[in-house]
Amino acid sequence: MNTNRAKSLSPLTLALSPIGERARVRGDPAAWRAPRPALVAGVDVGSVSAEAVLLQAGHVVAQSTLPTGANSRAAGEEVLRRALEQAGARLAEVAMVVATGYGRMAVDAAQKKVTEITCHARGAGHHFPDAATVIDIGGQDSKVIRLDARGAVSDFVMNDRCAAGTGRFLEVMSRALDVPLDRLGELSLRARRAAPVSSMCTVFAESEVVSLVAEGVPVVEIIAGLHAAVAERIWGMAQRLGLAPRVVMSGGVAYNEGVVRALEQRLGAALAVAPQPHMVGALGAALIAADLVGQGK
Amino acid sequence: MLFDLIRWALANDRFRRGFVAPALRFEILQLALTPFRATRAERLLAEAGLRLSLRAFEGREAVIYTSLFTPPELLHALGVVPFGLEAAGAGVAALGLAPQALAAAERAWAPVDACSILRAGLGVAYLGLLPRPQAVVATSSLCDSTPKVMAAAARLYGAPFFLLDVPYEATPPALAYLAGQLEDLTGSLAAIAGRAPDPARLTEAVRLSNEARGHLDRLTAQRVACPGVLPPGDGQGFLYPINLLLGSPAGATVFRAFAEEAAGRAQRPLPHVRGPRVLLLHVLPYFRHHILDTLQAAGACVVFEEMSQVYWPEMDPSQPYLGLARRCIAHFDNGPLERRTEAVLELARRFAVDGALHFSPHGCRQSWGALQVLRDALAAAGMPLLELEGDCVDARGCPEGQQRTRLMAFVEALGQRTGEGNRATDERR
Repeated sequence: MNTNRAKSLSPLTLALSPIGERARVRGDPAAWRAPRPALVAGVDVGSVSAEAVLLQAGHVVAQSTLPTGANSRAAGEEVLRRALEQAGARLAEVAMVVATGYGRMAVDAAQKKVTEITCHARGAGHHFPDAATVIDIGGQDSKVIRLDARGAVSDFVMNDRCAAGTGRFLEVMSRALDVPLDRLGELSLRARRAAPVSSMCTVFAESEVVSLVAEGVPVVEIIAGLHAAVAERIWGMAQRLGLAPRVVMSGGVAYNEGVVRALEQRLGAALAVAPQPHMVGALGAALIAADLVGQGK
Repeated sequence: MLFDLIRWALANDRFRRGFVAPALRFEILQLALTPFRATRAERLLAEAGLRLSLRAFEGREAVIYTSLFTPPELLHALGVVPFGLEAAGAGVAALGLAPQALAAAERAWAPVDACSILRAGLGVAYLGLLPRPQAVVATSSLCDSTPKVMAAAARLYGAPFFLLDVPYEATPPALAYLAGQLEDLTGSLAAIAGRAPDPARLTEAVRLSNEARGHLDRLTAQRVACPGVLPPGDGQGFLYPINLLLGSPAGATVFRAFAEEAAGRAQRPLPHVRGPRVLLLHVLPYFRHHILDTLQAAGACVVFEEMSQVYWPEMDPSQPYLGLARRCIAHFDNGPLERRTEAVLELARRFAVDGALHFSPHGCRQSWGALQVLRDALAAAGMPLLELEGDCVDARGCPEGQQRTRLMAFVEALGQRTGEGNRATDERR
């Protein structure tokens, strides 16, 4: 859009459109010769939380997160609204919104819907350009993603239908043990050994945990056992694809240092934990949005 | 509402025995009265299936239960009705009645982790909804569960059970061994049906089978040149005619119609096949499912199905038993896994596919067992394989949301490889 064309727009259009707003606010025709870099958004509506990231010129200008709750459509709208508020921007100013996560279809503002596999790969690759494997453990599912030399997804596996090896599994166990979820990691690191938790079915494992508590097994050892069980599950998935360094971990469970340690031990490889691991999916979606805008799509 | 009525009728002892044959007649009538609902070839296939089932349910002719890979030519030549127990399971799934059939099988101690299409077929037999067989025939090809389930069906009806022991390799002694079994089986079935084996009718059945094969071969060649001549995934439906209609006039008619329709479409400008090209391996769910729609919406194109390939050579009508034996042994799922792997790689090359989708039904041990080998072989050839698990007859065992995510991610990954990823990411319609 050039200056002359912007000037030729009607006052109503200028008042309503983002182009108009920029022309009106800045009032300086020179602003159109050096247009502000496009603002793009990524929205990740997961089973536990929703995240939004706003990017401009490759930099995060705002981000927000909130619990998804029972209404993924409302969560997607609200998390994006909060990020926009933080950036002082309006939705109409966003050149492209890409939604991801299990609730991606409910994000009405999104022009594109991309799976969380592709978005986590893109986000993790942004933080660690040499990433070859991404382990993402979210609230509802866990996945191992292999990347090719260009950072594109070459293969992936996801957990099966049950909650074993996911954040939900740890959430259920934290309730059974009456330990806050965010303290599981710290407590497990105090354990001298991991109590054996044989079952990976969430329901059976919960009753096993209750039995271990009744037997007087220290809680820290039970937690360490649960983390080892999660690591075992992820290791099994990784074996199907083959593990290649560098291995990056994303998803909210990456905040749990106990799981990270257990995974490193089981995989025999160091894990690079992405900064703000719960935001990686939304970041990846925003980066894809930026790519698409850059390609003129 | 209609399904509720059907379910009620099937659950009611007084109604269900007399229910199926009139329902089949109604379906045939409806098919004739609504020609606009499908292409001519599709209607011919549906009608052939309905008429064969109707013959079985009318009870005027001897009914022989057969498993997949039992040569139907033998039965058509004898004038008896082949009835596929797996096909019955698939039919039950298509009607949305799998939960009832599976529950019936479970009540009769069928293990819940066994192949659900066999369990559904057996369950519907336990419900008393199937025609009574005069004999049951199974092959040893491919699957260990099939002979046992077929034997259970034979016990249920007090019918004799015959097992064709299919060798792995087509050596002259192995061919002679199987050809001898087929000849003996023909004699036994003829005695059960009260008919004399008629060599001339068998020769004619083999000729018709060859004719059908020729049409399918022609159709395959047309699909190589232009995959759009057959709607994506439609070839999956050929499993039924290949296993039950070969050797009958209907089999030749059906495949001729499909080949002619494809030739007709090839004359018209067809939409260019865009997006990653996908090969379907093994089977798909038999109930109404989303898989093909999801692939298409994601921008991928299904160009061929493993199950619709012509894997057998033309048979010599003067040596029918030998020809049928050769076909049984030549099946890509019979024998060492290398045979199937080579066949899949050949299809992948021939159809220039970008990746393959393998739906692995719960309980199908032979397909699960092959997965890693297929996956490695395709990966070595530069083609990823997506394994999608689920139940093939019971929609409750097919989590749609999770499957959609896997399918979309697969197409996105293929799109990134082929540079056609943009459609794959666009789900907005």
